[in-house]
Amino acid sequence: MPLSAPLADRDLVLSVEQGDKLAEGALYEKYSDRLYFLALSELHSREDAEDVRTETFIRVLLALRQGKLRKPESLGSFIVGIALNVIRESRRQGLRTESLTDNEQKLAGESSPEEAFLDQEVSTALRETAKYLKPREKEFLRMYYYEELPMDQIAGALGVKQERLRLIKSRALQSFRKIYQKL
Amino acid sequence: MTHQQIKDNEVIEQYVLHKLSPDARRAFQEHYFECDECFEHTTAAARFIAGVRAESRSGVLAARQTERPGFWNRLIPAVHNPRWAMPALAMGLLLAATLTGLWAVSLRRENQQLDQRTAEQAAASERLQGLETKIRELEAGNSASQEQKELLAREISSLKEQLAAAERPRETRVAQLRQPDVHVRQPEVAAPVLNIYPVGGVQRSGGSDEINRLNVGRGTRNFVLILGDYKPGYSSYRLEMRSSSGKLVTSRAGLKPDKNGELSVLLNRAQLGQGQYRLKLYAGREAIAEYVVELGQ
Repeated sequence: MPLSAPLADRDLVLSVEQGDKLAEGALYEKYSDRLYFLALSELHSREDAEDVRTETFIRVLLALRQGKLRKPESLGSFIVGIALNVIRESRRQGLRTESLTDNEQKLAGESSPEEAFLDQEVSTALRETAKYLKPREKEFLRMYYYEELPMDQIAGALGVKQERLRLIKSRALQSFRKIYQKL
Repeated sequence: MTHQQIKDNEVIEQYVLHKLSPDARRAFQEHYFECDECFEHTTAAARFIAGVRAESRSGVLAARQTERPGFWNRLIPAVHNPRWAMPALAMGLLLAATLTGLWAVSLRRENQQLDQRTAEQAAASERLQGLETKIRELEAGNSASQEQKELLAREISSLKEQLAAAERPRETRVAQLRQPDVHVRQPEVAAPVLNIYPVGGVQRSGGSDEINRLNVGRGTRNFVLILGDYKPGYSSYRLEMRSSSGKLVTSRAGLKPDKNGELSVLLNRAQLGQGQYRLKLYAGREAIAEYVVELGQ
């Protein structure tokens, strides 16, 4: 955990309060990805996540300019709080305006939750990772993440101890991260 | 939520899989807003899990042929894990081996007995043939004494008994096979044969009117009617039997006279209740005779 983060946040907050446009840009630069990821995790839609990111930053900047953040070191929690409010509002609004086409798309399974995180690079990295996995290791990943079977049941079915399965999972994820970062 | 707690409790994976409680989820979100390392790991985990699911669907991670583990896949872990599995498997194999051994021994013994019996039978048969040849030679030469003949006759008798004894088990089995099955109905060998005469005929089976009164007991399964005065000369005849209400009870086609010129029909007693019936005999399309019968109890 970076120890300098609270100090940087305090500086950012003070600068934004004083109307520093560069500080606002730095604030966006620092939290933009996190905010988008948080919204994507909750809403599973890239468009909605983008909307949430924009709306949240508008509200955060307005609040900071008005000096509403009493503890500048809590900037992260402050942004999360506003983002979750925007997400709640987005969900409520979405329920009201959900069109028939959206329902049909959901029924057809065209937008599963994890698809929001999928792109060509993810697929490529995963396929590269799978090349180095043994059949039993691939089997385990499939049973655990896709079929969502409990770890003890998988261990029994594959004849492997649970500790070993955790190691397989950890190594596969590590390998994936390395490959993904290189792409 | 500390960095160590996150690592120890696999919080990142639980977050991606939406398995955290709302409070823990919020706490972790606040954490990764400040922690670069956790944020990087969380995004990587989200992408990884999404990729695994997508590739599982597309078949890249489909190592299995079926959704359910096969028999051996389920058996092998069961053998490794529970305490009962290995002894049970060992006992099963031992039992199978013992039964196979006993069966093999029994089969061998039976084969030996069969070989021995066949050899004895062949030897006895050979000796019998030799003795019979010798008797014929002695008789032809008339040179044997009475004592020699008796001796040879006794020996022949003894050999025949041996042969018969060798044959007995087979005959016993054949006899067993020929035993009538009590559940199989025996053929009726003494079906009643009754003469009937047509309307307008001279003779009657009973009474003076044109009704043929028949007494066929309930215990009788079948009976034969000999159709009198049937107008011979046709190659075949057809008979229709109707109840007093005119309902067709049974019919027979292709009836032919026997070598004595008698035309008969076999009827099933069980099909016929007590009452009156009319039997019409046809030659081609022409009705050539009609019989009225009354069946008693």
